[in-house]
Amino acid sequence: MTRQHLQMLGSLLVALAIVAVVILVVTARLNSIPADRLEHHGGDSHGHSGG
Amino acid sequence: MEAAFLDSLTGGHVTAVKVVLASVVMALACYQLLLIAVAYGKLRLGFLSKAPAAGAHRAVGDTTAVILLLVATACLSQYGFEGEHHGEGSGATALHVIAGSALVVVLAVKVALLRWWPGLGRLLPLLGTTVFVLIAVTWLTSAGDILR
Repeated sequence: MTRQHLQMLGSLLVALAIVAVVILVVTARLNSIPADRLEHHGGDSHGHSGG
Repeated sequence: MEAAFLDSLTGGHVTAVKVVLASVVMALACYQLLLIAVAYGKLRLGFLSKAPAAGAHRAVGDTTAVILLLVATACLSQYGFEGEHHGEGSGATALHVIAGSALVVVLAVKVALLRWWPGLGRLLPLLGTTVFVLIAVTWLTSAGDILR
């Protein structure tokens, strides 16, 4: 595996890490939003606050 | 996609899933700016050279485009073009619909340029910037508004 391959692999792993962090942070934030506010914005059919 | 199918697919949390996916797209779009700046030589990082940055930009872009189209399809099947996000007919909803529709069109043009019209490659920076701005506006008028 060349240096360029390793650099590209590293860049893709960073992208994967970004995705993981965003999912965790946004899910935590959604869980702290009151169900009625989330329903107002689109209405999850079960009235849950997401996550 | 039917609304009932989306509902069962997300366990009744369609909005929450869309917010998460749209936020992933927004974050990856920021990362894409960094990668393309390195690929064009505007930003020099000792640990990342131009060719790998361009390759990663292409791979992340393809993935982001697929997620984006999934969110757009879910949005259209749930609300249609009129939408009820912020109360019928509100300015934010109109802006969201316009920016989202323009995003799909500009993204399609960018992909077509890459695949079939490489001679027009000089337009790519402009199209890429437009895609980023449209993603930001679409996110801010929906997911960003919910998360604030």
